[in-house]
Amino acid sequence: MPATPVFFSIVFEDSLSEAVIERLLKLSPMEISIVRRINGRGSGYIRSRIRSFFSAAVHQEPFLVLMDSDKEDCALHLLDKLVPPGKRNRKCLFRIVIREIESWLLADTRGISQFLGISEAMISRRPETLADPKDHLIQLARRSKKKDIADALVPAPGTSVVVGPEYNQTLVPFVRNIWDINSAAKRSESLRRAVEAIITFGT
Amino acid sequence: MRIQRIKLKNWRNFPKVDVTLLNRIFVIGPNASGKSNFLDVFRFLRDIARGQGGGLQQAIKDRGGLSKVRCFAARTNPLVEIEVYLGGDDNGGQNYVYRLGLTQETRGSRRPIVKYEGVLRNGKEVLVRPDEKDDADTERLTETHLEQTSANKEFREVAAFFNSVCYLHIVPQMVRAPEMSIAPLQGDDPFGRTFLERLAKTPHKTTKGRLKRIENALKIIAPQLKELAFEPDSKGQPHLIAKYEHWRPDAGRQDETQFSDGTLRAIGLLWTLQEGTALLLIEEPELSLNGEIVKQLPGIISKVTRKNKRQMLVSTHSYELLSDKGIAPEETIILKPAKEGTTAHLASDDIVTREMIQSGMSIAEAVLPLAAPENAIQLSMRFDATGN
Repeated sequence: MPATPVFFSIVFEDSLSEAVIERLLKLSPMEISIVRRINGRGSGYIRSRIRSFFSAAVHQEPFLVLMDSDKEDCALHLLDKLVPPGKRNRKCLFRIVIREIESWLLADTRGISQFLGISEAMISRRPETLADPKDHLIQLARRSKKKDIADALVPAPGTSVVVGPEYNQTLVPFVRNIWDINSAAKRSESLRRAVEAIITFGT
Repeated sequence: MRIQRIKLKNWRNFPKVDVTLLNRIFVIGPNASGKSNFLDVFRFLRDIARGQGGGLQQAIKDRGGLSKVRCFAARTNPLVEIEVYLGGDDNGGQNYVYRLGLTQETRGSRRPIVKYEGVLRNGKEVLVRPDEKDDADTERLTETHLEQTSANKEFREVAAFFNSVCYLHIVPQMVRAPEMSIAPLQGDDPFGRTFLERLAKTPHKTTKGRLKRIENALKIIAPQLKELAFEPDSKGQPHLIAKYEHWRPDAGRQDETQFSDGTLRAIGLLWTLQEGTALLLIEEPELSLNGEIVKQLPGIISKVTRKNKRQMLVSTHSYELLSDKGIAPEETIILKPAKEGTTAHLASDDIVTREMIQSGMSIAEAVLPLAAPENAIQLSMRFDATGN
């Protein structure tokens, strides 16, 4: 039987990135239990607290923090700015998503095309180069043959919001049940590195 | 006097509990983790100690029988056990341990009975049951000595302490229209039903001072509030009156029937905090209470516990309330449900929590995520990684 599980505290921006973290942790060869779920409600909170997470993490109770780089192009530059090399340790996994979490979802072109009911050719081949991956996803949803999906993901006409009324409720099940993380990792370097960090964690 | 430590075995959904309690305690946990059940042990002791209209048999009956009180996970050891450590600097340094073990008759009407009952005063045994009298007359075991004035002379202070425990869970509709309530009142006023009567019985000067303090707290949410007063109407019925700044004289007057739910709850809560020195149990004060008042609560509670030497246990879910950085992990009990029942721990037991608090995070940030509903989901490599 497996040894004592490793108790992870996870930090995320919203329920969509929370679902992504759950999928990532399932790749670990270790028995993992999530004990603390910290919803940062955006990246501002995570930026302000990231050094606390590094100092709180201990061997059997590590942290996994997932944050969008937003406007920042270079994850490494952002990391240096938020956590200077001397303040880092291996008990806190801090993974930066290039731009937005949607770029990791879009990287599974086959899964997205089936889920949205659109041609795979319409999806960007290099999601990490998109300036606004969320908008790309919504533009794709607009052309969906599935009315239900389009209504859920696309802002209703006459509203001034960025996403549709059931955006996270619709994409969370996609992440949980459809999203092919390994195939997505082939198109997204930041996802590939995150997967690698999870798999090799603790070894 | 206050409760310094509580130990439980097979109490409701708790197989085993052993926690130390400071003057101010916040009990947090996901829905259905047993926050109310945890607070209920103190109400249970009060119901036993009440004597007239109370007592062990009634206290168990009110809870639906011993099988409802006993932990569902209990198998081999059916005893329900409660052990309370009492002390404090305000009663001449006396400290007590009260312990009670309960089981039920094996035949007949299967009444709940005392398996053992004991009291230590300053480390010395002043009550050990069962004694010879119990052996000679087993009927005696259907009652505790806590509930009997004739038998608790050596620890009457303890009985009085339990008897005065106060429970607060105000429902605004019941303050407004007490005639609508149906359940019989059981000696105390858990739902604030007779709140106005209580106000009327309080000496005028005391009432004025308390209302003044409440008024100051309410100004946070209602800056136009000028004065809060307690005045009889033309028929002599007492009413709470709020006077507001208004350009027309006499236009800015409201009585309690016009108050919002949040205002009524706030008034009821802030009044009760100031009333007496007994242990106060407060159930989810954030429900229908204005968020700004909720944020102030930990500070207000601290002030009262300090000045009145009053101990308070607050069950809460509230992120706003627990955002107060003055709340220590040593003051926070976290309940974690599992298959075998719920466990209770001080938040300070966890090294990661302590480290997070020390780096400037609040209980809301560091501990509330431990009580997230999706918690304790075991992930394993057996999950299909692609999910297909």
